[in-house]
Amino acid sequence: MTHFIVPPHLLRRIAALDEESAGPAPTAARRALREIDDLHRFRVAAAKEPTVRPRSAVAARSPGLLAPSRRISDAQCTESLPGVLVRAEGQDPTGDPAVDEAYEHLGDTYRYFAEVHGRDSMDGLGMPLPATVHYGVRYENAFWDGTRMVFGDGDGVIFNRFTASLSVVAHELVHGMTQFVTQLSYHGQAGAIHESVSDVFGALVEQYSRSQTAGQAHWLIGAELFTPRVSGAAIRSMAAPGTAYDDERLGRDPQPATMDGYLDTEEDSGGVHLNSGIPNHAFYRAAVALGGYVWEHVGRVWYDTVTVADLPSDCSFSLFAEATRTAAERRFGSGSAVTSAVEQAWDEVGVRLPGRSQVLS
Amino acid sequence: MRIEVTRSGGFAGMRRSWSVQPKGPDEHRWCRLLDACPWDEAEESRPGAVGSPGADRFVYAIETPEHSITLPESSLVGPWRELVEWVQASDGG
Repeated sequence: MTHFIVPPHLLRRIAALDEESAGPAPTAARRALREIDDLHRFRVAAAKEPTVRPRSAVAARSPGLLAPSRRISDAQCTESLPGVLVRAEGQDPTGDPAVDEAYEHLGDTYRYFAEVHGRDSMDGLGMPLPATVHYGVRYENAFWDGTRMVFGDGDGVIFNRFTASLSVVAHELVHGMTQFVTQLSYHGQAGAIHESVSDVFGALVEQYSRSQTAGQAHWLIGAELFTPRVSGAAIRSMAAPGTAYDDERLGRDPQPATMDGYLDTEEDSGGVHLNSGIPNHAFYRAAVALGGYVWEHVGRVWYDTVTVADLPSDCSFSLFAEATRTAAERRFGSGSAVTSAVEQAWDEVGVRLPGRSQVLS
Repeated sequence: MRIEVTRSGGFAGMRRSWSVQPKGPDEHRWCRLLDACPWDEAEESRPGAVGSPGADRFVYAIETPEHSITLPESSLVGPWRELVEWVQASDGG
């Protein structure tokens, strides 16, 4: 919950002061008042409609009972799934870093969605969180197989074990959520949106667990994955797509930040991990324009977009952008600072919204 | 003859290629392995296979003088897997 140090009545008095004599304080006060107004509207809207929209007739658990049900299995360096169950909910740490990291990071991810969005697990109905670690031999990947999260140990040369990164574990869990709440296909622009949603909430889960504001966060995805031998900070950068790594063996991070660099390719399921840089960067720009805790404004807009908007399976970036604008208007009001920031961000990455043909001032 | 395997996708979305140009007595062994791969069946099942459920899995593209195919990681079994692993091992792993 947001708390403002200066009470609103005092902010109104400061906002009314003359800028020449009072310096930047009146402008800052007016901005704070707009944020309070946005927050008030959000709370009114949130009270009117539940954040969680269960997709089946099964009753959701009451908010007071929200708790994860984690089930971590060990593939024992094979590619057989699910592997052997080694840590279930409530059980003590095993001492195996991969098992315990998966357990803790899934807990952080569950907690973010429960506390911020009132969501009970991937399906909103408290389904267990199944994960398998030690998949394959020196397997350098993590994936969502349609029913569970799977993590490799990495090759030890380029990649560390994939459970080491909270943003990666959260990324995989969010693929499950997106599968449950949308029809998005995993190809082309729809697939890049699928990917971007996982990165967005991967970053938010990390920021929430560290109580970081937009300005404090590093906006990197998978910052713990590279070994020291690699010249790179992370797998992806939402702040500056295309700059996460530049390594002799790996080459340079190929992600575009704007539509000018859009990659038309059949590889990577139509460039899902490449062009996701564009919606990632739009989210980042809206987030830093507003500042503060991102899960309180743009994070809510993206969550509403994914869980409420009826995105088509072949959703384009433009359609998704329009859905985020609609979600921002519903939560915070048209003309609000949040809606304006979302519109501006899409414009800056070159994704055109209907009715917007020129750059906003 | 040149056989090229390109892996794309995965969480990191990094592209990696391996290739081999078998010559002499080796060529016969490679031809037998290529013949063992069900190219026609894979071509027919390609759209559904590539669109299989899940996310962040690798995608493999295999190019030979006679064939070109894209396979999801989940379909990389039997002779496909043997072929890909041979090419990778022959080109430094």
